[in-house]
Amino acid sequence: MSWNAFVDILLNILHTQTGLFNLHYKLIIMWAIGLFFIYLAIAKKYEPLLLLPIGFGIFIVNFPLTPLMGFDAHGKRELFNIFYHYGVEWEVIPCLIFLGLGAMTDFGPLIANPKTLIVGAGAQLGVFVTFLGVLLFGFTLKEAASVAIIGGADGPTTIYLTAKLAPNLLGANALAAYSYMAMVPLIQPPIMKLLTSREERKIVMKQLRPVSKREKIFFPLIVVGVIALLIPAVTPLMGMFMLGNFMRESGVVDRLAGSAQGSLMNIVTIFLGISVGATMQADKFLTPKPLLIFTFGLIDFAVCTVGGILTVKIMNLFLKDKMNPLIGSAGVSAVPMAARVSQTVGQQENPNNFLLMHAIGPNLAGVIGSASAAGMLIAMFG
Amino acid sequence: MGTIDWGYAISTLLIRFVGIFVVLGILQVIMQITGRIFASLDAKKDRQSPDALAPSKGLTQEEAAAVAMALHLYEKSD
Repeated sequence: MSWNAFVDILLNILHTQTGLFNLHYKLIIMWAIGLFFIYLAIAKKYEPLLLLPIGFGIFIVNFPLTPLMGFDAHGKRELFNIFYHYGVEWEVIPCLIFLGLGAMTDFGPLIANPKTLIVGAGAQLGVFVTFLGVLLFGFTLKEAASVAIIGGADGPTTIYLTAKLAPNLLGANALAAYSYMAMVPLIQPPIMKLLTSREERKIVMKQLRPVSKREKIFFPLIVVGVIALLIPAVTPLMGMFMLGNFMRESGVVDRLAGSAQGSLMNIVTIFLGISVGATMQADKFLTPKPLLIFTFGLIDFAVCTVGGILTVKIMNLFLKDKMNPLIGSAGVSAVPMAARVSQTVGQQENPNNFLLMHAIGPNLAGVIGSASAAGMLIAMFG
Repeated sequence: MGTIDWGYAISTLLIRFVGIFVVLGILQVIMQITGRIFASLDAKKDRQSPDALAPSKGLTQEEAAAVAMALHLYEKSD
């Protein structure tokens, strides 16, 4: 074999079987984005359970010729494509995550104070305002709906809705939702202080009544019954959420509840993170849309926070036992981060005021509210 | 953008937003009613079995404050 022939073979191998000659600046930008989210997860501890696998997924899928998100020569799906197809496209993972969340959640504070359900509804204001704003920037109706739900601050709901309506935006929407959820302690306090007076922030709320076990057992059945009847489009999500909670509260299937909130939740979180990250390939992601999604996601969060606080203030006009408007901001869901923010801001005015348990009510109502909003949007455009 | 029917988009959106209040409002009313029913059932049960142990009266203000603070500090330490 001549030297030239050897070099030709070598170059051919390097061109067709390695990524070296297929690198592109767009791929390098995506590595930087992936590494940035890995940094946020590790150094800043921002939603590490999700941002770490998402960041890794972004990083690894943006190497040339990697057989991860495409189809092989025989038309079979490659590894991450399988996770994505069966996990996200088939809407299995978001529902399983809701099952685990339900098994983790104690709805006691919401059952003790059902009025806070209305706060959860008011905190969906941003979803609808953002929907209109996004439409002005050339998004389709389905895309606008998927971006708007980011303000609901509920990752699985965002993924569920986006996978249904605008799968092309899945990566950006999921990243925006989880990033802003992690940044709730930075985003919300200035808005909370701006919209409330010092006297309002000092309001001490009446202690919550004890909730019986029987009420807790009936709660998931009632919620799923009402939601399935009025917003059937979101029954898969809410049904799994309430099944998880029903298993927990029944007290007779501790092993199942434990698996749902432990091992199963961890397993699906890995597949969700990697699948979402893997959707963010350079040619699809590097467009103006993700930037707009992040901008509108922030506005969405802010308007949802405003909606929750204003709802409490309006409710206070009619209530004998006033609610502290700071718990309104927890209506955006982001459990339990938003409730902790209410507690922290409240204690800055009155160190003896403990709002945490009161804020958990609207916090959980926000989860039901954002799922309801998602159901409404699916019914409109699905 | 020209293909979007803004009248439809805004009106249907408004209906859906109000719809969320209606759905959660219905849920609230049902929760309040069932809460009262369960409370009265529990009270009736207590009256019928005076020898039974007294039901828990819940936490005192101080205990609730301590639990909330502990939860808050625990979450903060994560």
